[in-house]
Amino acid sequence: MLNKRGQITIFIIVAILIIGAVALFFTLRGNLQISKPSNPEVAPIKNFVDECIDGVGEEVIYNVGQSGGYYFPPEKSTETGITYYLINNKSYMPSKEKVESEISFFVSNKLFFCTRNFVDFPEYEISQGKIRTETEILENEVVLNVEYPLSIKKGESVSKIKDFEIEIPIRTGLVYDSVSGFIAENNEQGICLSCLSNISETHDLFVDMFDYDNETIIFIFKDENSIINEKPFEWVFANKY
Amino acid sequence: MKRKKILMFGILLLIVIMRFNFVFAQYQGSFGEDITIESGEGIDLSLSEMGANAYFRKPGSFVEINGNRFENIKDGWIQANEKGEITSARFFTDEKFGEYNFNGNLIKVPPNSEIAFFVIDGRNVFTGLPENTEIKNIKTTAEFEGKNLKFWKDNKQYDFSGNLNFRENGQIYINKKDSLEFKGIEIEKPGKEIDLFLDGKIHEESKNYISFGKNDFRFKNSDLDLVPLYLNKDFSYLKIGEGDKAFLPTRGSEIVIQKRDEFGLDPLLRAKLLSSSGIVYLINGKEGIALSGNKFFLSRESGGASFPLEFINQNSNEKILIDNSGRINVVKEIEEGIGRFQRVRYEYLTEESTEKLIGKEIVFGGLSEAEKTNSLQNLKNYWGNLNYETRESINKIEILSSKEFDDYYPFFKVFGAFPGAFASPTGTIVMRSGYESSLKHEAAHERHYDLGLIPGLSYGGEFNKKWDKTAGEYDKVISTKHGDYYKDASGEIILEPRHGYTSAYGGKNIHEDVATFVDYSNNPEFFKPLIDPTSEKYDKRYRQKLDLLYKYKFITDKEYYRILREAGVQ
Repeated sequence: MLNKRGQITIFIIVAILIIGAVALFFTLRGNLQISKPSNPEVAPIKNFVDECIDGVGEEVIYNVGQSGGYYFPPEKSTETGITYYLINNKSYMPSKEKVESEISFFVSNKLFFCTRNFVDFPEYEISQGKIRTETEILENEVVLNVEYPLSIKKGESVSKIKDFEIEIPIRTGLVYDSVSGFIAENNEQGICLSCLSNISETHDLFVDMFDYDNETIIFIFKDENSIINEKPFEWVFANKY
Repeated sequence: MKRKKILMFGILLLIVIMRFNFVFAQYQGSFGEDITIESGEGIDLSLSEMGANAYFRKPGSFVEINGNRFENIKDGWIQANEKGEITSARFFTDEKFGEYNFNGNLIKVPPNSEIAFFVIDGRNVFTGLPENTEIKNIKTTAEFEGKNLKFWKDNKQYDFSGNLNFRENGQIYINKKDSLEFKGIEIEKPGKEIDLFLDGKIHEESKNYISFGKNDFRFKNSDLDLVPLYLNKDFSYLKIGEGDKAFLPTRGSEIVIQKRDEFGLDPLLRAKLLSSSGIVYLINGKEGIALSGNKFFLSRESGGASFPLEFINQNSNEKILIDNSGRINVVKEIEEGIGRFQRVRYEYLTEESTEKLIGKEIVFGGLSEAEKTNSLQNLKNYWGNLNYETRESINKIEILSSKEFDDYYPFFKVFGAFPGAFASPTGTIVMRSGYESSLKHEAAHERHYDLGLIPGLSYGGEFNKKWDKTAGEYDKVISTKHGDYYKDASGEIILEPRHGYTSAYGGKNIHEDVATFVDYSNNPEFFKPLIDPTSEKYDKRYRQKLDLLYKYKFITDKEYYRILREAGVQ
């Protein structure tokens, strides 16, 4: 009798362990980033999409920098499309989350114009799903997590890929934080040149300022450590005093 | 009877004279202790134990008190106390120069001067001294007030206007409610006494002072109330232009401005804040730099011009470099040997930044960096004169060297023309470097293209039809055979407006007619006689054309209404 009970117990324990392991597997699967062994036949497609994300991402980030966090200039901007950050001491600087969602939106929408329905890959039959991008602006890079469902058929073989992650080494977070810090130090005495000097020295940036009109100054925060298409990354905005 | 009357009158007169103690005859004598007084004819002298009053009744008279002679006076009075010290005076001098000693303070005044003097709280005060009065000697605490006065110190003569004070020991100072203009500084009611030195040295013993040296100017204001100090073109330590001024209010600080011409360097301003509440401002009309809380701040001003300067915060390793165009560089001196980084700049234009400012593509030919910088600055300035619609009609601006312009666009030479710039219907303006001032003219052509003008062919569009109706036929009054001139001038080059054109060049064709009108839109004086119906030169076509330029957005509201206002028309 005792023997039989012991055997049952062992089976119960093993069953519990298996259930636990399976549950753990499903819970951690996302974090573990368990990837299926990649089919070498779809590697060219994956590489192509990676390059597109990289190229489009760089272009979008560059343009977003040029427009002070927006792809297209918002309502509060100069005639020439430079975004206002300060108007009479009130800040209109977009949040980092807003900038991230702007990048996400335009990467998602512009990616198609790069992949072009994969016309360059006639040997494949590729169907694609809706593109969704999540952007994370970090100090030294921008991480683009792109969900781009692709079903790739070549001959009899069908593969599916979906998740792409690209890190673009542009110090967007650092530049954004520097600008944000400067805006926060807005002072009635005028533009704090010493503050700009400290910021630029600390973060290895360059700052140019220009009169736009009698009330407005344009600021360009330039990072020569972040190069896009042979041009340094710039964050451009205007303050009206 | 007649004799009796004369006798009675004589007795009456004698009584009156004795009664009021008038002295018509010369007086020589003394009063008080060892005080001597002498007067000539025409002086009413009144003596008492309190002192002496002398009234000048006749030109040519004099009074001498303790050997100090007051003459060349045609009218007025002098009052002295029992010690023979002049206590007050007010008199008018005659047509000769006059030298007068007031208690050891010697002044020399030009002819026909008015002198007002009084002693208050022991200070000898001279107010309203005439221009070019020379203060030859100062013996007491004294204050002098007037315009273009001169004084001597260490064998040098100095000029000033306003109020200047001297202590008994010879120390010069500005009083708290005084105004002074001296060696290019203007100070008004500083609210405290400020010592004035002429040696350019540091004076630790003085809490608040100004010191002028050969190459150094020092200003120390230890207190925490701002002293307003203006600097004008006569301030030799900075390169301030005619008609310009700098404003240098400070508190709780010490500054020195050094002239460095002999080293070929810009002037240097070193500022040291003496407390955490100390401030130094420098406002030159174009921009203002403040040093406060150990940080530099920039504010933008309107009007005035900049001048070159190196502004150092002595409490840190930071400095501001300002050039004569008002461009600013913030410099931090790094450790020796590593050099300096110039990371923060103001108004240093580049192609990219100018493109951002004007929103148009700029293309340069083979120009030097200096030529490019110059062109960009000019472009930016002239861009400000264009209205929105005109700006929108431009796509690109190309700036070339003169040689490149002729090489790339040789067709002008073929026709014997030498334009500084031209506007193509594609929205590109091409100009020679240095001809950025033609931007408004060429931009008007671009705006015109947008309204339907096709060069060399027929033109359409509502604007052109209306303009044509006003202008009439172009080749009727202008000859272009040997240049552009009015046919009715018989070959004489006339630059004035005629026949509804701003110039003969404007009468060549509709392109130039419109563009030359726009050229003058910043010059209301030009249109005044042409659009005022009461004027001899009035011609209704000028007003008609201006109205069309306004309606079709070639010129701004501001330009249009300024022209009408200047001419006094509705």
